[in-house]
Amino acid sequence: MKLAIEPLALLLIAIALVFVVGADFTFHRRVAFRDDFDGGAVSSLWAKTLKDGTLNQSNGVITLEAGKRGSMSLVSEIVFTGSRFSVLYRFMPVVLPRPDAGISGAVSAVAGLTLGVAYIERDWFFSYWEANTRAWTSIGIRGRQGNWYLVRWHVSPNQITITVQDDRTGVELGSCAVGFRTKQTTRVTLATYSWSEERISATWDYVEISLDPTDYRWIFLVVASAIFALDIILAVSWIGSRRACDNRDSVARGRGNIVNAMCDDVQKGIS
Amino acid sequence: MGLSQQECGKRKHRLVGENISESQVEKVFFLTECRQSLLLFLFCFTIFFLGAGGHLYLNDEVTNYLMVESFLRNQSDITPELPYARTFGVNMTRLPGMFHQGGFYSWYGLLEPLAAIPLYLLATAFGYEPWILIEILFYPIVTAMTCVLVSCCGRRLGCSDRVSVSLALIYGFASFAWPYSKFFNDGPLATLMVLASASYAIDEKQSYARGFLSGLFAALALLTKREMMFLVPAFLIYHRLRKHKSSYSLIYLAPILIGGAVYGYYNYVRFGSFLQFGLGHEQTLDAFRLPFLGMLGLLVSPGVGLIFYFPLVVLEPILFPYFYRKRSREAVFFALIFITTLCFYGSYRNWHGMTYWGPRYLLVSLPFLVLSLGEGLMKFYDQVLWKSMIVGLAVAGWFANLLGVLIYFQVGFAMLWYQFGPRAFWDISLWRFEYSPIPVHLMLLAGLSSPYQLEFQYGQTSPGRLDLFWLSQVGLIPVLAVLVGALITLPFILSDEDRMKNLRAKIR
Repeated sequence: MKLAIEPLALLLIAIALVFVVGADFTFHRRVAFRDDFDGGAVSSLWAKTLKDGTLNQSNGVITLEAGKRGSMSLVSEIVFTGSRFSVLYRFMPVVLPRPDAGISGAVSAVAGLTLGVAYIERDWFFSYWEANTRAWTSIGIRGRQGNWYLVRWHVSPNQITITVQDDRTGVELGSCAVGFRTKQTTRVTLATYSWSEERISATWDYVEISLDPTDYRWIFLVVASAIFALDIILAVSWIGSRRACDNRDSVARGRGNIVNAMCDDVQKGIS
Repeated sequence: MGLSQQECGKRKHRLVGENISESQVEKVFFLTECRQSLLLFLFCFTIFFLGAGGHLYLNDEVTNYLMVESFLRNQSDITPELPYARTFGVNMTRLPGMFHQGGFYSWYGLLEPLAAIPLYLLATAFGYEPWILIEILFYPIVTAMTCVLVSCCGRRLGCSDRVSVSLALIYGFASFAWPYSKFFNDGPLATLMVLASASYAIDEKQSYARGFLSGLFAALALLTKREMMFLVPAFLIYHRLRKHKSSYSLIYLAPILIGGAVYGYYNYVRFGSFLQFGLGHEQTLDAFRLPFLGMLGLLVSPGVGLIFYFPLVVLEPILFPYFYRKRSREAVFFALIFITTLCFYGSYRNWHGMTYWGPRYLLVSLPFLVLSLGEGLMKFYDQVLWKSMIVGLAVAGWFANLLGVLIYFQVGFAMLWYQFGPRAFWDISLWRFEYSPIPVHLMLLAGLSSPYQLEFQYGQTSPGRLDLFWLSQVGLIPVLAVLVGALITLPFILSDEDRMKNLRAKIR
């Protein structure tokens, strides 16, 4: 049986890839959406995700049309950081329950947008999922203390301005304008949603594999792959040379004259 | 036992008879050596790479890195506006160099920052921090190349493949060359250049081209570290011992003179003087004294003594005579390089080169010490007692220097600094074994001592308790996996094709 070096090397490199990059394998269980709304409104939001479309950001407004059904699109992550807020945009493929098929319905992969807002001083965190929304510039969120807040934002090509307002009193709690600090990240997200119509809540369990081109681990990956591929090549050539030189008929097919001659020397023994 | 001349002739004839020319056979041998060298390089590089710290260590390295940024901006001075200096708020007055007419100029050589420029450009192209990429790649590559060159020189000196590779591994992992694969300091590059120069000098096949290349690498060594000019007489004496013509020595000297002129012009641009290297007082005779204390310290002091950081050196008095008997001219040549280095740095007031790891000033002569062991290793190769002793000392050297790889050496020094104060610290860490770096690092590693939490500056922070960049980046299992992957190649690197070797020896 002839051992093929290349597939083995590629296999090992692939293993190395998963091995190294998978060092960042994380399993998250996060409440993606939890609220006391009536089910209808929420369901309608989910329903919008099933359209095909594209993502655009222009004129200070983020617009999103969900990606092709069943596709896995690349993810761009943009992190905004201010003194009091941190905002996370994440465009990612997600796996959602199809609302028309109920809780146990088929799932479909679509492109989506995640917006996470952390308001540092008041110790609340909100993670909101939205898709296919045009001219979407504000959101009402509820903190852990039960208060409602209104978060408005204005997005320009290189800046985002965020304002947080107490919804009950109308008092502006603060605002910040931060420049875009873009970190190009390729992120593959495998996610499952569970959905409960009665309690109007969604839990989002997902496994992330981060692929950041500027991550130093890529350098490690290159070295690791090289050394593993080398191991395979050495092992295969060692097995091959032993087989070749064990052959009493040294003039084997597929071997050059030089190798044949060397094998002769090895075979007959030079002592 | 090798082939008899007659048998070899028959086999060679038979090879040629099978339409294989002698040059083809030579080519096969050459490819075998190339393959072994490539494997050796990958093995050494991988181990050095795994040990990388991923940060700059001392102000010397910060200066060298700032020179990279300075050259890329067509500057000769180091300014606070350089990206790294601006990011980390580098204090210019603490850097090694000299202020002159409002500018600050490093006292380090040209070649190291110039050689690091490709990595800098690569890092910026891919969005990495250049100083981190340079730290994790530059000296692992250079030191691995030095290991390969040691094995090549071993072959040229008549050692078997296995002994040649063993010498390379001894240099790389049983000596203080290993920790220096982590630092962006000029020593390892100067070592590579001097060894490359010597490798052409000791080549059996002599030609003017080889003489020129030997001189070229000597010039590059000079551009890396100006003190390398003091090794030129050793080369010239060696030329005389080999009875080379004067014209050969002149061809050797020509590139060195050009290199010297380039360095002189660089000095002139900066300081208005060809001979001002930016050392100030350090390049005056006042900075030197009688070398006895320095020589003694470089050889036997617990803090930086060669016997602690390269324990195999204790066998030199026994093994060197074998080398001298077999190759007396090379033995004299290597001894001259070592003695010159030892005397020069031993007479320097800062002979210990602290605070670094081991006798850093002797790094340049270390490959020659290692190579001079080769003949003795061949001699005692089959004697179990000797073999055990050699392996034991090599393992001791490996372990001692592993401590320097695992623990950031500044942490150990800082602990003593705070314990004994800045005055007593030097003598205590140099001359009292229990406070010298090896036991201090051992205690730190074992958790018996607690390191001081220093506030390092300039991106000099260790990535964790262990000074291993990749451990902090990818975790233990991937690091161990790659280590195992590298170790798997070791039997192939050390394989000694006796039959091939004998055939080659006879054919040649």
